[in-house]
Amino acid sequence: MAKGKTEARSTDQLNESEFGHLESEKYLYEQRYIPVQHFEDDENVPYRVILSTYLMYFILILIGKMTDFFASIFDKDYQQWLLPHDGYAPLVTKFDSFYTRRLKDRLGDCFSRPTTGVPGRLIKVMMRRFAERRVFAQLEVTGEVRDCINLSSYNYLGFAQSVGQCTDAAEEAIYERGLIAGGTRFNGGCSDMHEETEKIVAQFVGKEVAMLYSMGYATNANFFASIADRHCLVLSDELNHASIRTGLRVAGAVVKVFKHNNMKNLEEMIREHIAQGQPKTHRPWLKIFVVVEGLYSMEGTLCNLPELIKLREKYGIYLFVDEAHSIGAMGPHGRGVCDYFGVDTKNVDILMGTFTKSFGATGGYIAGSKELIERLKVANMANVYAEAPTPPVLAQIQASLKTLMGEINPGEARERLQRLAFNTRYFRLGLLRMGFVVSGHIDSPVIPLMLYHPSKMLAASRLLLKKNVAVVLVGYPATPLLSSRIRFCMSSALKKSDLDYCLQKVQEVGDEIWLRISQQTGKDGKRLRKSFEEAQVGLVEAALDPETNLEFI
Amino acid sequence: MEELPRTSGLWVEQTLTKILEVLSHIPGSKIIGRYIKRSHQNDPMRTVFEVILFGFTVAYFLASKRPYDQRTHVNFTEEEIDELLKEWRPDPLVDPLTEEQKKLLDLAPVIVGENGPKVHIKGSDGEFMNFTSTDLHNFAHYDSLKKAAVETIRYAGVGSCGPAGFYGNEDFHNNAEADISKWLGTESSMLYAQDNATAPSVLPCFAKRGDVLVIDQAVNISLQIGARLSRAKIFWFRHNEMEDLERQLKYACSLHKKGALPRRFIITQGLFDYTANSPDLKKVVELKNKYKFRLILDESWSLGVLGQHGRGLPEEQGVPRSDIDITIGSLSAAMGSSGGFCSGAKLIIDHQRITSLAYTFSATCPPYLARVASEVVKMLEDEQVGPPMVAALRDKASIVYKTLQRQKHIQLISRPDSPLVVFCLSDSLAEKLDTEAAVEQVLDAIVLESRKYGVLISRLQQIQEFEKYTPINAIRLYVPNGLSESEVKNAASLISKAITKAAKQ
Ligand SMILES: Cc1ncc(COP(=O)(O)O)c(C=O)c1O
Repeated sequence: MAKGKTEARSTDQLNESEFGHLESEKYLYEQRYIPVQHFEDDENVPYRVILSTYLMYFILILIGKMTDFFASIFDKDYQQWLLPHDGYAPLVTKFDSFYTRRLKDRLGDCFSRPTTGVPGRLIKVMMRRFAERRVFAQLEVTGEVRDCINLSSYNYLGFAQSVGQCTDAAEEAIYERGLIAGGTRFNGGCSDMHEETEKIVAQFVGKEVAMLYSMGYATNANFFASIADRHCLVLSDELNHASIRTGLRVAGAVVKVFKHNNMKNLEEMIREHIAQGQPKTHRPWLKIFVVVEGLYSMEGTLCNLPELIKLREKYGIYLFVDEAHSIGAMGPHGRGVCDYFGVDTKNVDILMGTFTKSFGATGGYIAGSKELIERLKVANMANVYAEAPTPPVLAQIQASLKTLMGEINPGEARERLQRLAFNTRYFRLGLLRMGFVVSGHIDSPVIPLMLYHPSKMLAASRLLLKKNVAVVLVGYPATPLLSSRIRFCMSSALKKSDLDYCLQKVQEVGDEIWLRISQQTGKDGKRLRKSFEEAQVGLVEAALDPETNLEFI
Repeated sequence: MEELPRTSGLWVEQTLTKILEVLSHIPGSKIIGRYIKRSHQNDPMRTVFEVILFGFTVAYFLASKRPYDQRTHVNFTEEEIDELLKEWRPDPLVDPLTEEQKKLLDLAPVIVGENGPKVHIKGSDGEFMNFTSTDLHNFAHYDSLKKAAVETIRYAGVGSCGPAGFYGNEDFHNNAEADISKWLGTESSMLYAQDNATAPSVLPCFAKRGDVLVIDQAVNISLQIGARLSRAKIFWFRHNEMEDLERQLKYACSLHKKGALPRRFIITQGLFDYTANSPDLKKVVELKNKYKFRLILDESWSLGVLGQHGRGLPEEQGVPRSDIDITIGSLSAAMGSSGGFCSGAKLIIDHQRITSLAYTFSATCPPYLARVASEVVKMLEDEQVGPPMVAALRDKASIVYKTLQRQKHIQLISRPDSPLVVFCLSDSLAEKLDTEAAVEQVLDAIVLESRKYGVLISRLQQIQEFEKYTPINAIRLYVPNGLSESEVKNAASLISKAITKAAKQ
């Protein structure tokens, strides 16, 4: 199981561990938007959970403070790095690093687990153990490598592969075009391959033109400065990604935050701010942007696109949708939230997305009108100062998009998209029936399972790893302190039997550490607490029924 | 009439008793009541004082509920708001490009086919010697590297499908980080997926509001943005002028009177993006120690270029790497890969792995690029390969420099052995031209004329709106190691010829 590189395996074996075969034609579902589905989450957490969570943090902080006290006397590293000495202020303050050192480090082995190989259906996790602490907890690899079912990578459509059309294209690109782009897009690094890929991307997302960047985060971080300044107002969802927030700060625009997916709140704010104009001067705003994500990666919620489009029409605002997670993963054709809601892309001014997720490549794109992209070409920092995407990455993007558009391997697109959609619904409904607190939209391939207690993060992650299931933990600061969670990412690469295995294991863990605390009642009026076997009855049919509603299951 | 005071007095008394009765049911109210009684007995003024304090607290909390900008808030009725909404006309999403920008866009070359030392570009026939590629050593076309890259893709796929925190951290990344640390002689390193995103994310991890940054005026855009995002207090010193640096350091120190010690940093580059010059590092280190600053050195362009093994400016000037607290580097410049990295003491890296935004909130770079970075570092470390390769690059750069030195119409800004050759128009020519627009026109003409001679060059590109200081109107050449010495020499004289021709127009 250790690092026997490619030669040792036959192609068949490799295929199966990266992309499992479809077990039955039944396990396919074509995504459909049913307007009754909710956008807001109003999960009521029992008080005992809130209280005990706070208590737990209180104890952790108390112990942490005490440990800090002793460390400040005995620990040389601590004194050198966290206390002022020789007239130097500490690079990292005690206060700033407290959360990391005394709380998060206790979960150290659950984050940043090193892996090797393809993050496909299975992922090879390199096991670690704690080593001697040096201010922060240190971990070393033990040498054991474990094949785990991968519920963690953003490999929605299963394009992370070491074989197949995409990888072949990437290899060819290396031989024909070299390893890297060799410059910025504006100067020396722009090739016909970039332009070609941009055409394909624009065609896929349904916009006039598109522009590629070598990093998704940087796409957002540099974008807003090119179109907004301090005379512009940006209304930003409170759960927007760090890259968007960074980008807005770089731009220096006036940013107001509205409650997650709360369209009433947003409309009030639009009215209010247009009426008031710019602060102090009361001059009218030059432009107003509403910035949302298509699919929120921590919550699994979708933006309320139909409402947003209505607001855009009514008030003349510009709409920016970050489709980092939704492109490829949402919609019957995988073309993002517009595709899912069945609206024309011309209703969204700026579509942004990344290739890191569904397409198994890297980088980001902005798609919009010709004027917009032209402006970006000359006035976007990522275009003028940063390196362009590399040829193998472009090849991967082209091949995966062409696959989705049916130009390569017709039929494969359908399987990939519909398997993802089925897996998503199946797994989510399974978890709900078993009484887990799960948030998000029914069709969202991001499935957060709420844990609340910090200690449960540790337990859940370790126990699941023991059962060969690799999951991602999300806690503070990516989420509020109270709502620590596991985040499952679905993939087309997973087989139904994998999902069954995982559901069973999650149930075992859930029983062990008391995670089945949902307050929701089922059709029979009883609290949802089905065992795995009970939950499985009719689960496939429920997943396949487009009318299935999360509130009555 | 007489009834009123009496009944109302009764009413007041009754209500009070009732309230007290209700209050007495609240647990703990007895204790509070006793406390009030006793304190009132001992010191009646204290009750008055405490009541005022209580009132103040309530007023304070109510006041802070009011949002900040409500102070200039105008109250409108719904009809008025609707009226205003009808009136509001947003600007178009983007302004159309200016003529100047359109010209820039037209001049941007699009390479057809393979990029490298010799290229074909869209819209022109023939082959060009390429002086615009940042891949100075032409690593993109080394067969050994290609082999390693293909092997990696065949083992791990192209993308990593996740941030480092979420299983995106492959052994290739960890190995590359270890290799870079070993090569530079630092404790630890970490990779970023884009070089330009590195500094804006590194600086805010360490410099916060109240901290002090003393920065060279010519630093690249990423450092400028990083400094701005950190919210620290910024002092700019004149490009590479050590006296001015010392003045700023002294000034910055003098501003700190009392309170917690701020963190203080000097930020400079090994080889500047915009001027292709290097600072006197020894002096910088001396000053940093004297004034108790820390040093952040951006080695984006000096790695793989300066020093015997390409270990950058410290190697060249004989300064130990341990004197540099934080090293920021690019893998996409002379290092043949893509992305950036930060290197330094273990704690510096460990802290960043959790707090750095571009690291925690972005997918790791493709594993094959990490692998390529590892292999390139190994090549540079290899005594048989690295030093001759780096020396050859600098020799070729010197050839270009010497050739252009004889050209009277221009003024070289870069250091003599830098493979980034930056020049602007000579003072006399610029004076004759008078306006900036005319200067730009001549620069464009030089670019076009060179292309006619088969040498692909371009202007130094900066976006004015984002730069702290006025951009330099110059041309920047990237001398490719992939061309032979005679080819480079030939190209340099062709560029010189183009300059003469353009200056005459
Ligand atoms: C909404 C959103 N935008 C942008 C990004 C950044 O993309 P990348 O990982 O390609 O840098 C992410 C990634 O997590 C994201 O979730």
